[in-house]
Amino acid sequence: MAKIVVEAQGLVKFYEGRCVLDGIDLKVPQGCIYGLLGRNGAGKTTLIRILMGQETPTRGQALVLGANSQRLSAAQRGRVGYVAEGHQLVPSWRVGWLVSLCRGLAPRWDERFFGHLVSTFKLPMDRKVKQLSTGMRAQLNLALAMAVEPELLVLDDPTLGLDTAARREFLELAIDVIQRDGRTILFSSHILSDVERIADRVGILVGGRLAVDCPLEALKRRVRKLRLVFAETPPQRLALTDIVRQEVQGREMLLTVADWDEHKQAYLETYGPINCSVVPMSLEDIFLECTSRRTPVAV
Amino acid sequence: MLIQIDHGCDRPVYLQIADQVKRDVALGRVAEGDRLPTVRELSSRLVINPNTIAKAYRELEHQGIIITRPGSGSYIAQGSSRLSEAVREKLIREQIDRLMVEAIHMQIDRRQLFGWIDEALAKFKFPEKGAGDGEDRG
Amino acid sequence: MRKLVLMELDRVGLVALLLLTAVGLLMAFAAVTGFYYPWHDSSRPPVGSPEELVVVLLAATVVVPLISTVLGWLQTDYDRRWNLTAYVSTRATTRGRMLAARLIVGGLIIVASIALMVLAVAAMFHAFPRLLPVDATILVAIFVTMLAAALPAYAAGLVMGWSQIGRLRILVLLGLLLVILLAVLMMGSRPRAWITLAVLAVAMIGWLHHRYVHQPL
Repeated sequence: MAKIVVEAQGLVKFYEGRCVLDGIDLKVPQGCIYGLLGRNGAGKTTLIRILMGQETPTRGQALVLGANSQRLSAAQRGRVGYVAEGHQLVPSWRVGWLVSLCRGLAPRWDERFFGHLVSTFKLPMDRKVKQLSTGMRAQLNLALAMAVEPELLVLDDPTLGLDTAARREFLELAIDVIQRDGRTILFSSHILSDVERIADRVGILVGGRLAVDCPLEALKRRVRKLRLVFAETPPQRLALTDIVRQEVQGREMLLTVADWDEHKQAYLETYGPINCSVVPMSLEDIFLECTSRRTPVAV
Repeated sequence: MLIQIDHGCDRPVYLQIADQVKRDVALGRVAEGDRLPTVRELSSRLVINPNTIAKAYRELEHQGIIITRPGSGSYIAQGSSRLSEAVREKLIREQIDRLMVEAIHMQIDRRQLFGWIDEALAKFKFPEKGAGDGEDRG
Repeated sequence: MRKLVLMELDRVGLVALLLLTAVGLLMAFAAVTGFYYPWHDSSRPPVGSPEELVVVLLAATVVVPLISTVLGWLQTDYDRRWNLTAYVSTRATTRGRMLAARLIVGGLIIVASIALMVLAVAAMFHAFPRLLPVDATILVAIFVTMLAAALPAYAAGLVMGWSQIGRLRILVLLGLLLVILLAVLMMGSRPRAWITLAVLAVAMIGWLHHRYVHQPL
């Protein structure tokens, strides 16, 4: 049984009267690459901040490396590499000074790896952080997070501000980290093709809940979209569970179903459609279908 | 071995990889006994999670396309798949049905279709007799 | 931990300089006084008189705490403005440690400045024993009051900077602080005053600790 590195138990967060997180249960085992998806404002950053102890939950608790996220010791924090949203760092500091502070605080520091990243990204040591472009700040942030040889990497929208080439460099870095055994990564992203490349497991935050929380390839297998053509008006209601979306146009019905299997297939055929074809769905399509629906269905 | 992943596609990435290895074998681009890149090599090259690559390799091994020798690597296997004959027939017939439906919709006639199938058989260097089946094709 | 302390020192360099300059001025005064002391003719009054020294020290008892407030304010205001704690607290450290480092640096600067003043006055006593027919205990009391007043003033500065209150409010609070200090001074350099001041300091730092450690940034 793999060690659970990140765990959320019934996390609820109210912010200024609004419910941002409505009962999040999450388990990320060691070695897993977990991609957290959701629309803007869905609560990804809030969830990550609670996991890192930057915010207190209204109810429930979060555990990181076995310890309560609100009471992480310095040593425990040293085992986590965290890249916060926005790549702010400390704008008024010189890059070199920031680096030496991080190096001095870290219990473990891979100078060779860090030096390699600095030269790859061409990070200037003598400029102030605020003088760097967003992209360079993102790269600096990532380099500082990865240099501490973390057991757990928590990345909140790490590719924000990176151009295509820099994003590719980041992905290659991530693969490098994954290949070092036992490392766990939890990251949130908007770029679904990136998530598809590197994630093992995917979670989609909709309406403050995890509408989806399953292995990535299971997601594509289990969510299916069908185009059904009927002889006459399509039936209003289908006695089928886990319907994510249902759209009718004339004699045609577009149906998106979660947890697809042969039973559902057989069931559908009893409604006697003339034609039934599968509409291919990429991860992006699945994401859009899941997040556009008002009451999400758990997959 | 060139592998391209289509991220807009509905087919899971690991199956796409498996498909392309199978295609390369069928087209003769890789021969029996050829060594495949390691999981690490391929994951770095394609920039894809090594677990996905590993899953693809496991799938290929399950289908009998490749053999993994511990400490040595993965190699293209000799011979045919382990799937039973009935299952093989079912899978191929399903593909044929799909092809038929498309062809009908596009109003292709019998002769055109046969011609194209013949060309494909030649291109893929189809064996006259498969392992253990007595059926003739074409 | 050491790294945090160094970080703080780096940040407060400027104000430390300010405080130490004030101290330097006092020492200069002492030197000048010594220079003009009529060595040969003891009948003539010295240029520097005991009254002058006491007045200077009393002024320092008000000025040093006020500068301590500025010191504290600069430390936390800089932090809030540039999101220092927000970032550094994600590294391998805790907010408790960061606050401790800050307090250590601030405290050391204040204590060092006062200690330097004490040294200057002691040096004068040693060089010119007849210059200051002032009871040593009075001087000690003045210095202790100075320290006791500087600590809550420093804490107040930290709190003001952290709460990010506007400049106008800061001026008002500084004025209030001044009034409190004068009131305390009038109460006299007594243990009761010192304990009150110490309790004030502890209360403010306690409040700050709670906010600092738990506030989402």
